[in-house]
Amino acid sequence: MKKIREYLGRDISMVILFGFFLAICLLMIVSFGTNMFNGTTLASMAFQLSEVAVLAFGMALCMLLGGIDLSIVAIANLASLVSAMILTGRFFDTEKIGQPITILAAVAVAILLSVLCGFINGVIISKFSVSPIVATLSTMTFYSGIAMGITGGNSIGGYPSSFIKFGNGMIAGIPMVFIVAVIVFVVLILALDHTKIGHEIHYIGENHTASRFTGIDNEKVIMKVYSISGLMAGIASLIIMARSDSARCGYGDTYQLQVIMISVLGGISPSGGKGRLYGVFIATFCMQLMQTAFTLWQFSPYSKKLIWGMMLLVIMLINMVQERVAQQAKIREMQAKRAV
Amino acid sequence: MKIWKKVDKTQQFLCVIILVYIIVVSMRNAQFLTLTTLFNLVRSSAGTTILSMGVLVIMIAGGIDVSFPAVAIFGGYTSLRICMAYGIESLFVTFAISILIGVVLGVVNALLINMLKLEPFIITLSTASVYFGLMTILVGTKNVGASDLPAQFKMLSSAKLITTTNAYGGTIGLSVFIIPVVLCVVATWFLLNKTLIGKGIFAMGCNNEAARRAGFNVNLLRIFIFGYSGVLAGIMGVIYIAGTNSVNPVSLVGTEMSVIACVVIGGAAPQGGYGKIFGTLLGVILYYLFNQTLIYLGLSASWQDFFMGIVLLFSIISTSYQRRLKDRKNFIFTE
Amino acid sequence: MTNANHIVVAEHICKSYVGVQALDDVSIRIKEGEIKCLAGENGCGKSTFVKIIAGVESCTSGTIQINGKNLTKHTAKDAIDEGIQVIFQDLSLFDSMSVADNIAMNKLIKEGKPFTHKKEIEKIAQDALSLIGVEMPLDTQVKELSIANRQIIAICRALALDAKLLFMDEPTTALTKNEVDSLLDIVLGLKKRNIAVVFISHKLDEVMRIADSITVIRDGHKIGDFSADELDPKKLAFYMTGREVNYQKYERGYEDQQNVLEVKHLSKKGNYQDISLSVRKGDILGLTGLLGAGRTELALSVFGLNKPDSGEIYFEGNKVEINSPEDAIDLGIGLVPEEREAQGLFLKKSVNENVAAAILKRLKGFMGNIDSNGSRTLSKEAIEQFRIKVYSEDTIISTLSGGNRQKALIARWAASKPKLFILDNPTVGIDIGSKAEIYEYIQQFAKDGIGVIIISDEVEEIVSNCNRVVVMFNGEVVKEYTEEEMQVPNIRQQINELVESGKITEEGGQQA
Repeated sequence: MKKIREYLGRDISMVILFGFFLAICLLMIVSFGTNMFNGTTLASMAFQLSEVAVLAFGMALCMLLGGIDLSIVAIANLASLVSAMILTGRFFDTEKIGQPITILAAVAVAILLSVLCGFINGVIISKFSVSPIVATLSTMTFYSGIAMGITGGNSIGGYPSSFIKFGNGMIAGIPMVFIVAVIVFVVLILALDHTKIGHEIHYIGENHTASRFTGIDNEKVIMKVYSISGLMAGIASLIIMARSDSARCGYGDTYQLQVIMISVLGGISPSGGKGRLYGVFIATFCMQLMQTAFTLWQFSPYSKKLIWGMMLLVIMLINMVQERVAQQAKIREMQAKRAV
Repeated sequence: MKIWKKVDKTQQFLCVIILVYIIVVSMRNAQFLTLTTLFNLVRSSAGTTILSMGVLVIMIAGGIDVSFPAVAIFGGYTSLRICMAYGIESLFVTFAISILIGVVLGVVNALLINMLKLEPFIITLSTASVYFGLMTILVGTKNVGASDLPAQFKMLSSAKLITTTNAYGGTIGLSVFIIPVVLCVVATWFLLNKTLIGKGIFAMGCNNEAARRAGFNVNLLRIFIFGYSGVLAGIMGVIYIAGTNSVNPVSLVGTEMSVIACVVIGGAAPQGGYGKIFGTLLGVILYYLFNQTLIYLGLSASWQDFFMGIVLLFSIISTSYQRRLKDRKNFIFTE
Repeated sequence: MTNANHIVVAEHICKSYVGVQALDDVSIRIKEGEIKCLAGENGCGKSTFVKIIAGVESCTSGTIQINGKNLTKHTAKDAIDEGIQVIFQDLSLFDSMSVADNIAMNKLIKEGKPFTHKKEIEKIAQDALSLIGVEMPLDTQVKELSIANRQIIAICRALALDAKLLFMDEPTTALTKNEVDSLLDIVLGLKKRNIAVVFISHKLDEVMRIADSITVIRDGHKIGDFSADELDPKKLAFYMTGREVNYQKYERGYEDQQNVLEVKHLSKKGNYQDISLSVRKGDILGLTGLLGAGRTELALSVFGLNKPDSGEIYFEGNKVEINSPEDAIDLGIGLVPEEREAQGLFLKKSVNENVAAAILKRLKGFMGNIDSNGSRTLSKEAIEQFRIKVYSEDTIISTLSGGNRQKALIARWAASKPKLFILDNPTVGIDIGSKAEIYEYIQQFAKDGIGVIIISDEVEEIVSNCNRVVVMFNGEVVKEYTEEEMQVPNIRQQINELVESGKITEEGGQQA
C-alpha cells in the first residue's frame, strides 16, 4: 500500500487518471445501478475499446520518442482496404485457393503493408530530418490519398465468415479482439521496460542530442518505432475489419484525435521521454467508460468531443501547476539551506 | 527573369509543376483552358486561401494551429443563426459577429499556449474539440438549407464581380468572394513585410529567445498572431456558409490538414522563421487544380490527396534534407 | 545613492534557479564611458548578472537603478529604452532574416513605429556599419555569414540604437588576434563617444587590459573591484577560484609505449587540415586553441560524429573506420561532450539511468532483456567511486549541482571501460572542489593506462594535467609540446600567446 502511494505521489497525472476512472464508475453506478456492469455491457465495451487501445499504443510509442504519428489512422485504413480487396477476391479467385489461405494472405498483406508505411514515416523523419508532425501529416495525405484513389471512397465489405468470427467471437466470455489488445499491451510494456530499444526510446525522447553522443543510434530506433507504430495500425485495421465487416477510407476519422488525447491523458508527455504505457491502457478504459456512459445519457457525439477536449486541457493545466509548485518548493528549500 | 530570380526554389518548383500540369491537362481536354475553370477555381479556393494566410502567419512565428476550422465554423455558423433568429440582413453585422468570435477563440488559444508552454499542436488540437463541442451545445447542429439562408448570404453567394458569356452562351461570372480573398492576402502581405509586428513574427520564429532579448513581448505577439488568424477564420466562416448550398456545421472540421499541407508545400518552414505568401498561394492553387481538374485527365477527384501527398512529400523532403546537411556541419543533430 | 555619472547602480542582487543560487548579494556600479570587465569562471553568475540588468531575467531580490530610475523588475524593452545593449555570447541573431533586418531590429523596436520601410531599414543598417567602417551586403541572410561577421552585425545592432552601455559576453573566444585587435579599436572608439562597455570574460587577455576596472565574481559572490595593473594571471586566477591554483602536475609513468590512437593527415574541409597526432597509453594530451580552431571538430571525428574527408585513424595500431559513436564505443572510445546539459545529460532521468546510458549493449541479457540489477549495482559503485553526492541512485539528475552532474557523466563513460577517453572542456561551470576531484580522476584514468585527451580553453587546466600539448590554430596544428618542452617555466605564457596569435614568437614574447 505504501509503495503504491509512493508511486502515485511521483506521478500526479496517474492519480488524476485513477481518480477520474473511479469517479466515472461511481457516477455510472449511481445513475444506472450496478447491473450496468454486467457481462454483456462489459463485453461490448471490450469489443469497442480494442481497436482504439492498439492505435493508442502506437501513438504513445511515437510520443515517448518525442514525435507523433498523425498518419496512424490513415495507415490502418489503407491496410484494411487492401486486405479487404484480397478477402473479397478483387485480386484472385478466393474459391480456388480456399478460405484459410485467403485470410492468411489478407492478414499478412495488412501487416506487411502497415509496417512498410510506418517504416516510410521513420525514414522520412530520421534520414531526412523532417519534423514528425509535418512528415506524418504529409504521409497521412499520401496514404489516405492512395486509399481514396483506389476505392473512390466506397466501402468494401462481405468477408469470409471465419474472419468475421474473429471480430465478434469470444473465448470464455472475453472478446477475442480484446485478448489481442491485451497481448499487444503486455508485449509492449515488457519491451519498453526490459529491452535495449525500450530504454533507448526513453533516452531519445528526453534528449536526442545526448543520446546521439551516448552512442545510441537514433535513426535506427526512430525507424523501428515508427514501424512498430505502423504495425499497431495494421493490427487495429484487422480488428476494425473483422468487427464491422467493412473497410472504408474515411473510417475512424475521429480516432486520430482520440488516440492523441488518450496518450496525453495516460501521462505520456507531449514533449517526449516521459510516460508509462499502462497509463495509456487505463486512459483507454476511461474513454470507453465515458463513451458508454455518454451513450446511455444520450449525449451527442459533439458534447463528448467537448468533454474530451476540456479534459485534455485540464490535465495539461494540472501538470503545469504541479511542476511549478515543485520548482518553487525546490528553490525555497535551497534558500533555506543557504540561510542556515 | 529578374522576378524569377527573386522567388525562392520552392516557388520556382511549384510554378513549374503548375505550368506543366496546366499544359498536360489542356492538351488532354480543351475545356480546361476556359474562364469557367478559372472562375470556379477562385470561388472554390476562396475559403482555403483565407485560412492559409492565417496558418502561414502562425507557422512563420514558429507555431502551428489545427483549431482554425472549428473557429471558422463557430464564427460563421453562430453568426448565421443569430442573423436568422433576429432577422438581421446586414452583411457588416454578419461579418462582425463572426470575426468577433474568431478573435476571442484565437486569443484563447494564444493565452493557453502562453500559460501551458506546451506544443501549440496539442493545445490547439484540444481547443478544436472544445470549440466545436461548445458550438454544437450553444448553437446546435441544425442543417440549414440554401433557401433558408438570410438574404445577405444569398447575395454573397450569387453576386458576381465580372460577368461574361461562355462559348455556349451561358453567363458565367467571377464571384465576389475574390474581394475578401484579395483583402486578406494584401493585409497579410502588409502585416508581414511592412510592419514592426511582421518583423517580430519572423524574429520569433527564427529564435524566440533572441526576439525576447531584442525587446519584443513574445506573449503579446502570440496573442496578436492567433487573434489575427481568428479574424481570418471568422471571415472564412461566413464565406464558407455562403459558398455551400446546404450548411452542415459538421462538414468543415477535418479540413485543417489540407490547409496546412498547402502552406507547407508553399515553402513555409515548419520550425518557423521563413515563409512566403506567393508560395502559399501557389500551394493552394495546386491543391484546387488537383481538386477541380483531375476529372479532365480521366481520373476521379478521389485521387487529389494522392497527388497532393506526392508533391508534399517531395517538397518537405528536399527542403528538410538541405537543412539537415547544413545542421550536420554545425554539429546540430536533428533526427 | 543616485549619482549622475552612474548608468547602472545595482545593489544586493540575488538570483536563484532550481538547483543553483546563481547570484548572492552582488552590488555593481557602472559609470558613463567606462570600460569595465566582469571576470569570473564559467558558471560563476556573471552572465546571469548581465541578463538581469538587460531585463531578460528578473532578480529574486535586490534593487537596480538605471540612469537614476528605479527599474528593479524591468523588461528587456525598458533596458533598451535606457540605452542598455547586450551582445550575448550566442549573439542572439535571427538566422533566416537579412543583415539589414538584424541590424535595424532593435532600433525599430525602440522607436516603436508600427510601420516599417525597407529603405529606412537599409539606411539604419548602412549608417551603423559605416560607424565602424565595414562593408557588408545588406540582403544576405545571416546564416550565410562567418562568426566574426555575425559579431560585427551584433555590434552594429547595438550601435544603431545609440547605446549608452554595451555588454559583451565573451566576445573574443572565437576571434583570432587580428580580429580581436580590430574589435579593441572599435571599443576604444566607443569609449570616445562616452559609451560604457562591459566585457564578460574568464581570461586575462587584451580585452581586460584596456579595461578601466575589473570586477571579479566567484560562485555568485562579488570578490572585489580591481584595476588592470593590480592583476596578473596568477592573481586573477586566485580571485576567480578562491585558492592558490596548485593542482598536482601530471607526470606520465606508464611503461607501455603503444599508441592508443594515432591520426595521420586527417582533413575535413572547413574544420581542420592535415592533422597528425598520437596518444599513447597513459598519456594525457591537451588539445587547445581558440573556439573554432578545429579542436572539437577533430574530437568529434574521432568519435564518429564528423566524418573526415581524408586521412587515416589508427586505433591500437589497427587502421579503423569510425562512422558513428557506436563504432567508437565498440572500439573503446568515450567522449564527455562540451555542452554538458545539451549534449550529455538526460536531465529528467535518474543518476542510475544516466550512468547506464552508454553500456546498454553490455547490460543486455541473452533474451535481449536489460539487466536492471546489474545497472543498479554499477551505478552504486560509480556513486561511491566518484563521490557523487546523492541520496540514492534514483535521484533525478537535474537536482544535482554542476560538479556532481559532470561526475555522473564521467562515471557513465568510465563504466564503458574506455581505452581512449576524450573530455571536451570538462570543468566548465564547476566549483573548485569538484574541479580538483575531476582532475584527480582524470589523472587516475591515465595512470591505469587509458589514453586521455583533454580539450580546454584554460591553459592552467592543460598545463597541470597534460604531459603533452597540441595547439591548434585555424584548423591546423601549429605546435606540439613534448614532455620535455612542457617543463619550461614560462610554458603557460608560451601556450597562451600561441593560442591567440597562431605564431611562435621567440622565448614566448614579452609579458605586458
